[in-house]
Amino acid sequence: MHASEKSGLLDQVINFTTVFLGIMIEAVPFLLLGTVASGLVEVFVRREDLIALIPRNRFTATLMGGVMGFTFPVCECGVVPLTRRLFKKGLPVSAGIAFLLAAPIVNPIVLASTFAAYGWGNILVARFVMGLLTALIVGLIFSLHEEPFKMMRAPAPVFGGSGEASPVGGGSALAAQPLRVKLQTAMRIAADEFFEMGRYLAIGSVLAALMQTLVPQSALLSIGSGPIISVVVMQLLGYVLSVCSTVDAFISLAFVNTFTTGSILGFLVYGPMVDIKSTLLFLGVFRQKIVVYLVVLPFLVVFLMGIIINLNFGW
Amino acid sequence: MSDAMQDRIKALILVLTAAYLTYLLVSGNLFFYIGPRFSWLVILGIGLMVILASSYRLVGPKADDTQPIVEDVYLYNDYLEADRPKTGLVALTLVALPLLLGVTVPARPLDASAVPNRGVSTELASADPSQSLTIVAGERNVLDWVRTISNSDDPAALNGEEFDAVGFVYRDTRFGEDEFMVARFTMTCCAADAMAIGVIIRSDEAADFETNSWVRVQGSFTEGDFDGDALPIVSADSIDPANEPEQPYLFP
Repeated sequence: MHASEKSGLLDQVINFTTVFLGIMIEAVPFLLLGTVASGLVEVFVRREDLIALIPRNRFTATLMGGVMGFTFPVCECGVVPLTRRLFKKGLPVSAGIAFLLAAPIVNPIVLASTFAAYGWGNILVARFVMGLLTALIVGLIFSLHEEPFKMMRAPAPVFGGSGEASPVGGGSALAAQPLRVKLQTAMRIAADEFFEMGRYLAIGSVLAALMQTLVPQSALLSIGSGPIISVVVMQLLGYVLSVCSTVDAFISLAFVNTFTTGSILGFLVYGPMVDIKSTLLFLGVFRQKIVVYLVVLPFLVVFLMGIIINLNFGW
Repeated sequence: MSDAMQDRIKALILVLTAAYLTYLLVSGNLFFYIGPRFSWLVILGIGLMVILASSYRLVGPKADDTQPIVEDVYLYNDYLEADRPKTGLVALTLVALPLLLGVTVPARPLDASAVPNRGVSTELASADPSQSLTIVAGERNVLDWVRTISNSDDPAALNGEEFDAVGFVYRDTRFGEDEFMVARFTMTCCAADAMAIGVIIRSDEAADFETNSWVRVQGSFTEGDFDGDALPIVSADSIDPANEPEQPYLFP
């Protein structure tokens, strides 16, 4: 009896490792892409140019943040370091939050994978509309905050407090350097950032893999499939599974016949915006209290939309 | 930890992780963790890791901590000094965790021991009929059969059809002495979304085969009762031990 218990534990450890490595191997290339984009933005995008591009009006700025995903095709792992960099470059917080939440959905790669899974139809359109709407609503709620930069995690002491002006923002010494040095600098920044963000990804993946090894999926799925509870269940599943937004459309196919359309959309909209690993990544950027809001607000907004779809549309 | 030391360790972690991923790719063990259609992603990751590691100037000519090799390195270091985050030992360990676990824990695909927690299904929710029916009956794998079963509401529809497929033995409290399931994991993107599927097998020899061992089952379908449901069940003519396939998962 004792021996079999031991081998059971070993099995658990191996299965945990397999799931953990699966998530990490899938996510790390995307995180690398995000940090490389962030490094390039730091070196090649001037703060003044970015600020000149952003509309003055709070609503239009948020809207711009929401659709920016089309120009930066990153998923939830890559978007966090990039957003952090854009904040430092002077992007307004509401626009940054809208970008952070919308980009993992409103981007060409996710569009393509959702199309591949569902074809042209309600699910595809609703996923993008709901994603953009949720991001805008949450972004606008955050824009009501009076001192936006207090929402950020206390920056390293070398920043000198505000976290606003990175000392290299002007980069006059760097601007005069040959392209080779600029590129190398961008890659060094990306590498440092990979280590800064990578630890959050690792913790998030450990938690997601632990959940999958210890909590039976049936426990979640058996809770119910009513028009309201099903939406909660699928949003929770999206949060727990922590699958990359570029591929989650294929995974949701497995639930199409047993779950309501509103709940499938809850999975497809909330999962990519916020999941275990992105929550941990958020902690590297925002204060803890703000991270709680970033997890809860989109949950509630998507939940409402899911219920509305279930109760009013016969999809 | 000095900056130079920290850089060395970071570069080392990146290079070793890239080497580990290259090993996974070459050995084929990569597909214990992610689907083959994402190999390009791993190749991209390996390339980026090498590029990022080389930005620490530890690859190539040996770095000298005190004397910059060329003048621009001074500027470059000045430039970074103000903005560089300090990375502690915990953070370095966490980023190295895939490497550490990958090297120390035996590489193994998900097997029967992972089924109770992940659940197992005799049906696929999203069965596309065109995918399975084009495959000749003799060449259908467990996934193709589960698709075929899912496409029909009539449990008797497959009566008499010849079954011949490889999978691992799975059983839980629902199974009788003469029953087990020949199962496979399907995976869409990575091990996090792996789902077990299987076909119920009935045979007097069933008890001779241990849970989690790989078997080849040949037999034919009959309508039967399993755990209160009417299902197509295979009456086995022969069950033989089989080797674990090189590609343990099936990809829908």
